[in-house]
Amino acid sequence: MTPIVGYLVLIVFGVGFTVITAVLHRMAMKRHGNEMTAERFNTAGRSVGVGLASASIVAAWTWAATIMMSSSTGYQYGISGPYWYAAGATIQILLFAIIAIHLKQKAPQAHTFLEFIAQRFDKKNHRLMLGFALMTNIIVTSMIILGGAITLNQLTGMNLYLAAFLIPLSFTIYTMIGGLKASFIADYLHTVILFIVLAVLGVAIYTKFGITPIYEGLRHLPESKQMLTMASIPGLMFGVINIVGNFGTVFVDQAYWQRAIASTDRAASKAFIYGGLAWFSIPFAVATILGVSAAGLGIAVPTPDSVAPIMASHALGTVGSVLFLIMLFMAVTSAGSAELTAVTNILVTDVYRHSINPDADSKTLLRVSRWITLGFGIAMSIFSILLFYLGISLGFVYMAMGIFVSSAVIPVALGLMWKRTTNEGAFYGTLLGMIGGIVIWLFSAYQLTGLINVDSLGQLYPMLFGNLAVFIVSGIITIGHSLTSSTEFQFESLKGKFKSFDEVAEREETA
Amino acid sequence: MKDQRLAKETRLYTRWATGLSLVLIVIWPGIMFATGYVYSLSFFKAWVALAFGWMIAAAVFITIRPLIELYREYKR
Repeated sequence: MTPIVGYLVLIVFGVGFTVITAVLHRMAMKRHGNEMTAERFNTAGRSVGVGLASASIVAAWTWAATIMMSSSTGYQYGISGPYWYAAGATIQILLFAIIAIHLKQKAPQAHTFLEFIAQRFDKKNHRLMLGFALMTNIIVTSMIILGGAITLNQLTGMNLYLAAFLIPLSFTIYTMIGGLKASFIADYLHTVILFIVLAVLGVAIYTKFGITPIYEGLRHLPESKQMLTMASIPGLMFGVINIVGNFGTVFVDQAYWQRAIASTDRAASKAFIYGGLAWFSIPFAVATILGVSAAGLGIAVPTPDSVAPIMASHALGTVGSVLFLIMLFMAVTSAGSAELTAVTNILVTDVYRHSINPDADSKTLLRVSRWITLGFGIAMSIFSILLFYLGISLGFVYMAMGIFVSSAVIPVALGLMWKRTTNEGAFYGTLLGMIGGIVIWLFSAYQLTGLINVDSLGQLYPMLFGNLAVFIVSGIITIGHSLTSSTEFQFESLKGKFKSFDEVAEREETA
Repeated sequence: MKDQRLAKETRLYTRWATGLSLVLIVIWPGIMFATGYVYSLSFFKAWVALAFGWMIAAAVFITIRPLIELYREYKR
């Protein structure tokens, strides 16, 4: 494919989605006869139903990696790879259903999980968790943008920096116009298109090549014993790392809290169960259709990571390549817009309103929200380019991310579910959990290879030990300190503590 | 009334979420790992059909359900 195809896909879909969401936004505004408010911009009116919320959860959790890396595991590990990729990253979404219902019970009016932390714990916890949350969002956003840009560059040869700049632009504009609801509608359309492309590729591959030849091919590979069974040790090892490493990326990411916040009381938990089960099918099917089949058909690839697009073009030629490109673009932009709205909400709620201008009215907050959306969209494209200049590998960041962010998982979840969780327990659990994880990670890399460098740190066992240490240390400190203390937090005291963004304006009207 | 319902739903969804998680990462792969079963051709076909069928079911749900919600909202 030529770079022109890449630019065409980017521009056609980028402009197309901006126009569609802008028109739908106008129609919705007209029908309800109401204006956009800051509260609506950042929470979608807390009125989203199960279907739309599930679709947007699927969209937020589908990255370029979900398509590219899952296929790579299918190609390398056979049957067990796709399963572990899918199951290992589905359970966090399923378990978030529990968080969602507790949030609806205890802080139904909160805008961000940090706003909840600020009321539940003390100031130092709010600051620390704010740091963790922003770090998570920035790392995830840059991974999404870089992952998309690198793949577009490899597939079409289009300029990497221009791709990294255009991808965020394509979702920043419609998000800036319509806020969270617009992002949800775009998510829905993206997910539908992704499913259609995947179904077409699946039908094409299995009717063209047949399942029996793929099976025979797998049986005659040198590593056939591992390819056709779930009893694969490398597959299992990958599965464990995948499970542990993904907790931080869901539980500390405002994007998922936001999906619970935007849903109605009845829909929130259900959406995470349905969304999780629906998401499971994406890496499971993609990797089986593109990765396992490619291994069975004996298709040669330069690196396992590039197996998915090669298989797509092997099955349907140029049409396959273009379809694959569209599927990838859908995955990247919808996940990107989820992160963008998450950061906007955090900066508006927990920085601007919390520390800079606590009395801001709805109009001001809406204006600030829009500027932050635009500003962060542009900042992320610049940051992604910078990361690429520094030569930081994507796979490395993906694997190491858990060590840096997961220490907040247990303190945040317990703070919401357990009244005895203490300020000190949560704070030092989070802080020392991260430090402990990094120490164990460095130490085990050194013990196993005698060196500390990107290669030795990127290996399976140091990653696994580092990730596990984070949970063990943060868990022991948080739970341990909470058990020794007898203070109990009254969740009822949170009632009325979360003020709507529109409230100040309303008060002025009645006065 | 509302608090009571939410408390009931908390128990319900906690069970569903932990139950499904256990099935996905312990019970299902655990049984297949412990037996060390090597796929026969027909089992492989069924596995592919499962992956594909699951995907189609998810696609239908994700596509149709929001449209139904939109229709209901529109009628109101």
